[in-house]
Amino acid sequence: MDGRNPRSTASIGGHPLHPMIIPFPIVCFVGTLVADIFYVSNHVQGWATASNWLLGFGIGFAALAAVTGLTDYMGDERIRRLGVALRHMLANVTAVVLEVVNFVIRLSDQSKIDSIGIILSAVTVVVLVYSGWLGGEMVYRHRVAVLDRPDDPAA
Amino acid sequence: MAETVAHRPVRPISIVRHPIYSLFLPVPVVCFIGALITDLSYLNSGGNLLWVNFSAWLLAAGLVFGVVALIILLIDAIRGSAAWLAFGLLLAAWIVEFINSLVHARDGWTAVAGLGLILSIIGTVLVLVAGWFSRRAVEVVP
Amino acid sequence: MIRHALVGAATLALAGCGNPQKIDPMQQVGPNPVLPAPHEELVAAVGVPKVVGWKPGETPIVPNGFHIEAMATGLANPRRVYPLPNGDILVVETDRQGSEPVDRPKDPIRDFIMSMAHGGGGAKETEGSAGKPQRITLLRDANGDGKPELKTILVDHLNSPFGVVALGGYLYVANTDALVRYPFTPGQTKITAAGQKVLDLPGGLIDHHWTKDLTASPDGSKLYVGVGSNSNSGERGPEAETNRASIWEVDAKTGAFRVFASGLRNPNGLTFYPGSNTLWAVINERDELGPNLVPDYMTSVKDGAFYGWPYSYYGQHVDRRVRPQRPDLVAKAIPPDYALSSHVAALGLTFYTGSSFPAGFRGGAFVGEHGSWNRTAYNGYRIVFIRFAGGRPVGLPHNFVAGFIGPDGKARGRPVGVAVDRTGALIFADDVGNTVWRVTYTGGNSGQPRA
Repeated sequence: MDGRNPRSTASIGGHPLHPMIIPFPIVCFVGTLVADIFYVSNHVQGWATASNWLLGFGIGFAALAAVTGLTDYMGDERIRRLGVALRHMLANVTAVVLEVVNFVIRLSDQSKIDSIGIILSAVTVVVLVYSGWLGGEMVYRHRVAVLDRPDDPAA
Repeated sequence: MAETVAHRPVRPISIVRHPIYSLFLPVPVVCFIGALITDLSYLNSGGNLLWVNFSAWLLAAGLVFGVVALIILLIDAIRGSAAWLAFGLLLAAWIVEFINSLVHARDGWTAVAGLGLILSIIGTVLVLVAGWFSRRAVEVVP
Repeated sequence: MIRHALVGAATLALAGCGNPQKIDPMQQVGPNPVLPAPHEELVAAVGVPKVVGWKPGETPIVPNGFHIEAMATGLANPRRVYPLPNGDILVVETDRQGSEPVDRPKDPIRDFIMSMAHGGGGAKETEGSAGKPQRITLLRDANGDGKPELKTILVDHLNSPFGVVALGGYLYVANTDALVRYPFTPGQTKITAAGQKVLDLPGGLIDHHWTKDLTASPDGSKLYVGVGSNSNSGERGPEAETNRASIWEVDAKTGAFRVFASGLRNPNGLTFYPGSNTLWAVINERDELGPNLVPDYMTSVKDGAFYGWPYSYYGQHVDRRVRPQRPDLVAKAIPPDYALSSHVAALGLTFYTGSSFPAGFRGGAFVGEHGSWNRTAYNGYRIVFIRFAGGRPVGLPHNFVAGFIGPDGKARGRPVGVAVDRTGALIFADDVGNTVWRVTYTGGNSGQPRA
């Protein structure tokens, strides 16, 4: 018997990996926006360099988060049935695509940070707020990967 | 069985059922781990100041958001909806990283070499353990 | 358990880092100062007296037989005084514009603390200028009684000027980012001509040590500019320090320059020893190695010499904070001639060439010590006199003008530039007191420098 709550496939010893990993790309991408704001305001090279590192690490961590998230998505039909899960995934894919474009643009021309770069960073953060909220909904309302308790009514 | 049936866990402070402390706690975790990585990069680079400045900013961000996480965790721990151990470990990590940020304010190599790196390691370990003891945030939902 | 132990350890660590200042500043003067081991405190000691300014009738304290009087008050952060041969005195009222870019969280915190050091009495706005003062005021005291008959703005809208020199029909002004000159003859009270740029000087966004002092060689063919470093000990990176922390030699006619001497963290008070071709300067050494490191110094500046910054101080004492290290440069660093003790912030230097003071003063040096910030026990905040014999400093420095910090621990004023006027009186600029003071000898005691 699987229990009432949708299960996480990508987990170790019952502890789901996806929620552990997602803070890393989130902090990195928010950090990218912060560094962009500093760079646009004073054009000190260090901030542009910091942005690049945060963006690169963020994309890397996001890939890791995506793998665990997709594994969970494919691994339990109850998750696939959640419209929330699909919206969450599409929003995150959008965010990562925006940041990859962001990264490529600024690697070839750093001055683009002042125009398209900072806009992409800001839009991504907004998208992440949305997708992060949906992720929270998945755990706290739809109880994805939450431990079953004996007194929960059966499905 | 009797304990788990009789004891209904208290819900932590939440916005529409999303616990707030789980929003903030990961930030110092990521920042302090990040600061350790940038410290190692600094030492590895033989003194490229970019990395030690990066460390200083990560520590500052971790400390600022760490205060928020500490306050919320404290309230939740008092209410019984979060583990005291998690609060205590986060507080210990915060104190260590606060002293670490003072060391990191030095002008150059001595900001990291020696005491700075040691404190970064200790702080990272403490904050990871604090995060571990807060895993109930996503795994146990009342 | 772990938590309690950690909190306890943290408290002990912080307490243990309040290092008692066991070294008497007098052990750190002269050619062989005592140099303790570096002690980087968790929180750098900061001791900055609150500025309250001078009450009417209140003056600094001078030795018996001397008299001090305010020549001009209500100025706006005066930092340099320059007497002209006709008795006019130029007063440079100046300050840095804007603040340094933020590289790390420490920067805005440190800038805030430093702003308290120059806060209170400084930089008032007066008619004709907006924002920080950037001008040269002329004082005309034709009869030499210390009460100028005329006080007028000679030239305004400069850019953080500091050193000035009147030479060959021009007034040369060292702005923070350029050496400029104006057609000028002593006797003029106003400059209306536009300035002509002679040479760009390192300014830029950071401009950490922004004061560019200036002097001319005795034969008038060369100008010397003091260019301070862009950081405390290289923490802004090596690119920020290109051609900084050095004294430049500029050809007065062509504007061509070369680095005359380097490794001088913040050189000011550039002055040739009277009757010689030896350039002297006072240098502010680095901070945050403890209250007794590194002593500021007065030194003759040798052509082509390297004095250590940032890699070392006082010869081969290596600064562990600076990477990558340069043992080759450390090996050729030469120690300075005369230490002034730690953190006194020596900003002014002049040699006594007058004859109204007692004979013991002739040829000796007056040093304006702006005062310390990196110590809890104040150091500096005075003008000292150092006797010279055979063109070399001898003995200990003697307090000559004191009383800048009152018994309440608050600052009335802080001395910066010093000079000797046509009558042989010592004049100096007091920036946070907004005053130019004049010290004359009135007789009475022998007035010899105190032992």
